[in-house]
Amino acid sequence: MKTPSHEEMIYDEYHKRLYYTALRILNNQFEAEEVMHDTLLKYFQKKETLSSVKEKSAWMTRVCVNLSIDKLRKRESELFRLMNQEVETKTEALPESQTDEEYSYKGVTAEMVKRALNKLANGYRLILSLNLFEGYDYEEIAQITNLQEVTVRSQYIRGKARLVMELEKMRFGEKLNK
Amino acid sequence: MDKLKNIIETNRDIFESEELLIGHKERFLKKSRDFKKRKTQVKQFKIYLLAAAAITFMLVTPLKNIMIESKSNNYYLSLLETKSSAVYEMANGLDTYNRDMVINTLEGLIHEAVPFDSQLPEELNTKERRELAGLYYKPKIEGVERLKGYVGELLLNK
Repeated sequence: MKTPSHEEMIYDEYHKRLYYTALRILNNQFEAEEVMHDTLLKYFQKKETLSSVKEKSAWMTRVCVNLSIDKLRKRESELFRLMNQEVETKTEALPESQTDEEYSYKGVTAEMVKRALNKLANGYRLILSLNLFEGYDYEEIAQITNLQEVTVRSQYIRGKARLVMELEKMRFGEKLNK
Repeated sequence: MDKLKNIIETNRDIFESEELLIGHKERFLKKSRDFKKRKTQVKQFKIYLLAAAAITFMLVTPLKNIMIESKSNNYYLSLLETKSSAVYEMANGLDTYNRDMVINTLEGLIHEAVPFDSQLPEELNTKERRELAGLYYKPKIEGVERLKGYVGELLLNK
């Protein structure tokens, strides 16, 4: 049996992680695959070596996120209009319980969260994904997206409220089906 | 911990369960091969470009030197000849005394028993020869121009 090359070994180790990172941002399988490939090609072009797995992973994730955002920017300027809009002081017309951090996730499954995330507008999904899945804080997200930290925080809160609203719709729907 | 984060952390596999598109690895390996091929082609192109630039430089430099040299020798001499011919012509309109005086002065200016260029040491390069020719011929050309002005005045006052 043929021994896999260094390139193949790196590919096998990191491709899934990169693919899902891109997919969460882009919500499109073809584009996610392209970004995943481009990230790995960039890694192989890179002259300086990253010794630790942690360094490699962090570097690739960052490149993958940047490439996904670039693709998103090209795809729809609407997203960035939404993200750049002024932070409104008043909260959106959502029930108090839904905007509250203390929202009960009772009966909410991971599958429901996944579906609800996919229903969100790209801007919200991007910020929520970067925080919830990739572990970036507001400051880092602001750096990555070129937005102000206060805007990121505001979009995060709104995105989460939207997500809760979607979850509520699903819960309500499920109750009706029962 | 944030409840939402907790759901995600404990069910990461559910969030990352979609199958990748069939043939994703093969497509990557092909892309990688194409990329390397393109990189080699670009490298080769750069080498060809450098070689072409070097050849052009080698061809153009001597040609440029020839052009500069011919200009330095012939340029000043032909300029001097053109200007002195005009003075000769103008001097024909003067009386004998003045005409002889003007022609003697003119010949004193332009006559070279030994051509200037052949007086220069052979080890001088083109640039140095050009500079020396300029230093030698420019005052002569200026002298011929002044003489031309003087002849013009004489013709007016005639």
